[in-house]
Amino acid sequence: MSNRTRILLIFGVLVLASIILQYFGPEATRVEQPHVSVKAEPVFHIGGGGVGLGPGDWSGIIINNSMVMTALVVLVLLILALIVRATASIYPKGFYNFMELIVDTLYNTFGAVDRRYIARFFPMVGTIFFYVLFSNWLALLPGVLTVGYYLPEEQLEPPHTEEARVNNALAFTGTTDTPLSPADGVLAQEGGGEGEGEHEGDGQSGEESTEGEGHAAEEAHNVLVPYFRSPSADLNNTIVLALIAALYAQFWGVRELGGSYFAKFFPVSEFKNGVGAGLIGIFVGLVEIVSELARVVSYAFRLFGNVFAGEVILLVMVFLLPVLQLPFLALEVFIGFIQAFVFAILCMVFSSLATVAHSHDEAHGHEGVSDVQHGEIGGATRANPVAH
Amino acid sequence: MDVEAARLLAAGLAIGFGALGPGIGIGLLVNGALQAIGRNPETEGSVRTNMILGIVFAESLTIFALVIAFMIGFQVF
Repeated sequence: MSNRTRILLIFGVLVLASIILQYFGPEATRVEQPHVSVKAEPVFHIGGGGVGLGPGDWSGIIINNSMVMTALVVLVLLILALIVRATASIYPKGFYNFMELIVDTLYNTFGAVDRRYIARFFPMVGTIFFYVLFSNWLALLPGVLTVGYYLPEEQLEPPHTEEARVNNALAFTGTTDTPLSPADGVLAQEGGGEGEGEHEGDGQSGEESTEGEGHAAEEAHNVLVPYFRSPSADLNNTIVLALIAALYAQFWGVRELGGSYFAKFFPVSEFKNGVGAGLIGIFVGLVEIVSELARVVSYAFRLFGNVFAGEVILLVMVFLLPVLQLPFLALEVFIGFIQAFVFAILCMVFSSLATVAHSHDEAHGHEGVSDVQHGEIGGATRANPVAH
Repeated sequence: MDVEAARLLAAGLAIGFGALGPGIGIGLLVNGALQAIGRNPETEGSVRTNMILGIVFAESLTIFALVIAFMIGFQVF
């Protein structure tokens, strides 16, 4: 028996055993259904009741699981960059050669969009690419979304009312024996709330009901809060990235065209062709403004939707049949790369569009210049896929 | 109809109809791009980049529908 067959055999037996234990085994070997959260969950807090696991009383700094992962991604990128920097030489070999190949390929691919500005845009665009790529790929490692701690479900949300806040603080500091005067009634309400929660919990998982009554009520409320979550699966992160990418394009527009950049949004000069043309110009300017704003939304939701949907699909597939997630894992690797590439190349395209003057004559003039400057492929590949 | 049933139905319909249009669009897009590459193979690089961009624009509509479906399904608001 060769080595490969043996490994496959062991793998097959493990998979089969996990399936049998999950569906036919005793209670203790079954994995409970996962809790899917659209928001990033709190992992630990600094201030607001000391430093420790969980959200505390929500008044301090809350570190979410996506923020932990972001720090990890940045750390990995930093270490990679330092290694590449330390091994840089004129005669590349080994790991440095590999990285140079990747960066060179990336530079040429992005350069096909705009040859004139690629040297200026590449630091930003390349950083976005590597950051998004690593935050997508590191999130596929085992342990992300599966290793965590248990938190009562009602503590996942910050308390909205004053009463709930006091109540939460009491529950957190464990001083419920000496409640403040407004908290008396609140505690009674909490009891009622738990009763309702218990009812819902019974509907979701029947296995808890075999345990003691009071114990079951507490158990049903706990949800697994993972320590790690992909940064791209947190809308806050993707919106910030989208804002950075959009503002970067505006910055280059202003820098290259000066004040005349804003003529695109407020084409008041159209009024010299008559009132009708002026009104049409104002409308066109409005459409331009809306399209700039829509870019931020579409940047942010595209990345968030893809990565979050991928995580949910992986989770669903694991609980449908354990082996079924393998093809989807491969798909997620592909999608993670494509999304990183698309985010970066869209930043490139929009920045490059912003540096082109809006008027038609001037735009043609620019393209003519770039054709002459860059010769062979410059004209053929200088694409404006989202032209006006 | 039960509220819960309506919610599940809404989530399913949101992603179902949301995937319909972009699916057709991506099909047309790749059709055009592959024909262009077939007629003029040396432009493959730039056609492929623009094709992926177009696919992504069409696909992001599906993703919006998916996000809405998740929001309905998980009762976010």
